[in-house]
Amino acid sequence: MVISQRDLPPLRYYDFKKAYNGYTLFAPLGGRNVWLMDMMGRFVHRWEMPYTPGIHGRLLPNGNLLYAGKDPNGPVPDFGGSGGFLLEVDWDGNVVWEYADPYLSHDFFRMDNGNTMVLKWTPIPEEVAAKIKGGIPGTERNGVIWSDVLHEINPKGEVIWEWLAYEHFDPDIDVICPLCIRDRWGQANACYVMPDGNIIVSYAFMSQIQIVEKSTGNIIWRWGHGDYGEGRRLGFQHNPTFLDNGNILLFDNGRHRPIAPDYSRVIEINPKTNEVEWEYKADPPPDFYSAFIGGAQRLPNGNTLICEGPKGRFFEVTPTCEIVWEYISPFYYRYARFGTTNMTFRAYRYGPEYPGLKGTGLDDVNLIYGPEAFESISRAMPGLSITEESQQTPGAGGKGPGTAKKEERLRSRMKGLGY
Amino acid sequence: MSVARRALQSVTLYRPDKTYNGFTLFTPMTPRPSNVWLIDMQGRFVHRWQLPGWVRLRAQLLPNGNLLFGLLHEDEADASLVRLPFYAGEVDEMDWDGNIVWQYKEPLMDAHDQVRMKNGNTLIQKYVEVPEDIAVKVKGGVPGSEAPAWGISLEGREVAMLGYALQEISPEGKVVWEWLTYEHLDPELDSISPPQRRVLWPGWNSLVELPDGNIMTCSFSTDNIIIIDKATGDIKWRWGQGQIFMPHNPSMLDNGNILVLDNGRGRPVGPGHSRVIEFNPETNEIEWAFEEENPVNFDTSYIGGCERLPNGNTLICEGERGRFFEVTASGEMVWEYVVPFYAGEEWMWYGRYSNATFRCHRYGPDYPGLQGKKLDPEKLDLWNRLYGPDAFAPYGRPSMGGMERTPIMEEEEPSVRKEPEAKEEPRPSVVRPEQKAPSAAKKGEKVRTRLQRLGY
Repeated sequence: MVISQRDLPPLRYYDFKKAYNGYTLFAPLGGRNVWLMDMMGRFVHRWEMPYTPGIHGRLLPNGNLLYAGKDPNGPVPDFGGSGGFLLEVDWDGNVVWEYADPYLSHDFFRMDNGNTMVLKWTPIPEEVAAKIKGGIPGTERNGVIWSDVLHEINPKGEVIWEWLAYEHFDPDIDVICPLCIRDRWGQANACYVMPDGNIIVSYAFMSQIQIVEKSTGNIIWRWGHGDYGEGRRLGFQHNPTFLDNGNILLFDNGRHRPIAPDYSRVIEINPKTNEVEWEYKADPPPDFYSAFIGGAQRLPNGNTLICEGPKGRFFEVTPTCEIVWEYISPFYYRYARFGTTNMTFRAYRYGPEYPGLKGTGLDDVNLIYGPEAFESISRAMPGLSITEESQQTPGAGGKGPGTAKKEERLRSRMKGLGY
Repeated sequence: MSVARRALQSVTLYRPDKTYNGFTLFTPMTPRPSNVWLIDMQGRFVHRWQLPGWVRLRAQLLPNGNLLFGLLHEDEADASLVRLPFYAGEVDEMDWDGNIVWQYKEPLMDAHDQVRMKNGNTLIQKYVEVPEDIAVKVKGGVPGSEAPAWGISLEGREVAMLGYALQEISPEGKVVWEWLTYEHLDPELDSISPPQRRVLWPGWNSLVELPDGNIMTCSFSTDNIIIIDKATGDIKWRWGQGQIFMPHNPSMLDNGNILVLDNGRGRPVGPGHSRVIEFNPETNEIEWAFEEENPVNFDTSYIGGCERLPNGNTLICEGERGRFFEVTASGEMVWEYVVPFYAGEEWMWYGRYSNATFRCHRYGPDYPGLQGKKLDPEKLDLWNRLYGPDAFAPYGRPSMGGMERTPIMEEEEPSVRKEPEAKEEPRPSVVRPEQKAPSAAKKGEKVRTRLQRLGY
């Protein structure tokens, strides 16, 4: 790790007057824990899962965690973002619903009707594959190109709707980026079901997002597509979400964007006018760059929570692009392909009023907004400075003198949390 | 700028027993007019050159103790070429006290590199037009991104593509040798890499005079390193396409290997990171490489450099983040410095708060150019107090060197701080209301007052 960053505490900045105060959920890649923490970076809940993330988890409004786990022996193991299992677990970690498919990929979406939309991979028939344009020649996977599938799964685990991307892609418009390998036509990394039932899908290898009309299966809107020219708008983007104002928020990674330098941005697009109506990028821009994962979430107060994935950095910005909260994940794991990293696919923020937190003890707004909360913030903020104690274990806090009993309690609690 | 990144500046790591101790020369790219700084291992400024213009990229210290750099005078600049962030109109040699002792003006000069050759001449690279019949044959690059799309013209003429004339300039200012890129490069073997504009073919960012007199160059637009046979003008060796991406700063080592920064911009796979590699030009095998344990922590997409130090360490400049660090042969980091100077004004893609630096150089105390020079941090006392190592507290008090408000939030209130320490212990989990301390009523009153003051 960069020395100049190594010794700083995970919570780097917190402006409690401007932030959307709540709890942040994230699943460090490579680990099997899903963490929920408060604004101070103190862990308030943990789910231990049987699988490493494949590739993230979400807290549902019913209070359960819907989690995609990775099948280590799956048929497509070295495609980044491969999954295999979908688990819905309750607050205490009991499995209440389960779905397995070794071809699952990246993202899932629990719909209002109780069904679940999932992404998965499938190999493309040869005659279709022959028409695909772009990509680095000769980089097919053993001669095969894969593509994406949308499946709608009902609570019984039955597939009740299927959409095969390669049946709807136009080989002349949906061209693989010239810098990407040619083993996947699309590489969908997000599916988001809009209120009208249509689905936003993000394709990294084509640097394009699309809306699929649920009733006909047609692609009714594309953005980011076009030749690899100066006008190209997206690079390897992730995590489009539909906002209340009708716009689409997404994380534009910027990888393989024509023209230097490499930087990421988060943009809000008006799908009616195709104009970018809001943009966050860092100053200087290369300071915020995530080549291959990342997420963005619009918060109820108008702020945006951004996950700079490969650096495990989550931060919240106001509409005027001011950083009001910043946290760096302290969970490092070793990977053959990526080195030792704290990378995280996405992070989500849930306010104390979020229905899924009802009855968990975390729904008391006083915990987040009350005097006690501010008091603990004011205690910790002047420091934000590192003390010996807080350096050792995330979430442990400092230890006061002569508090043996408290310390004992703390230790047993830490044990319970798996330290 | 992320809060995490602005937290630490100046020297953040120094292991004196393992470093190659000397002085580091660097020129922050964005503030103008430029200052060239020489720092010691602790990050103290020991010399400063104030320049009359803008060094777009770098300055180097010659063995005679003078600085050599390409300089841009913005008021005299070519209105079209100045769009290229590496254009400069002249090359200057400046002595220790800031007097210009040699100057060569070339309105079409590229600032990327100048080389003082062993014979005393100077190599420069100058823009020339690539004839249209050749330009159309050049493969690759972003479609439709030729020079007019960027508003680039040459002496008022619209041109499709720029190339270079590599020129050797005598001390009297005469061009004694010239080599034209478009006459020798191969439109297919030297194709432009996909994410690059079709403006420069090639885009040289380095010139190196090899011990045998031949010239090595490195092109960011064609992703390769070539060696030019000085006697015949032929390209006798080329390597890089498909292996290195937007490379910078190759150098020939004593063992015959080549050390180069592989920026990694546009690499098809991997997490998006840079690396420094040492490869054998006879076998094209990589014999040594440095990349970070978490690769994304060393990433500079469009600038940067590396140099092998006499003790076997490697000094690396992570250009776009203004960070220099020294690693041992086994990859251990033993010294790190973050440039504390920021532009403070918007310039191209660099933003307001960029401390980007093109390259840095380390000179040992035995370097001829430093002999007899006064290397005294005292003479720059004010600068050292403002931007030296002591100006940046290691933790908790991050600073932008005065450029930006400090990210620490509210001043802490004495009333809260005076509480007994035991109660100040942050709890491992969220505090439930019923767990309130007995003195809560009194405390509550104080907190309420404080909240009111904060506007709640």
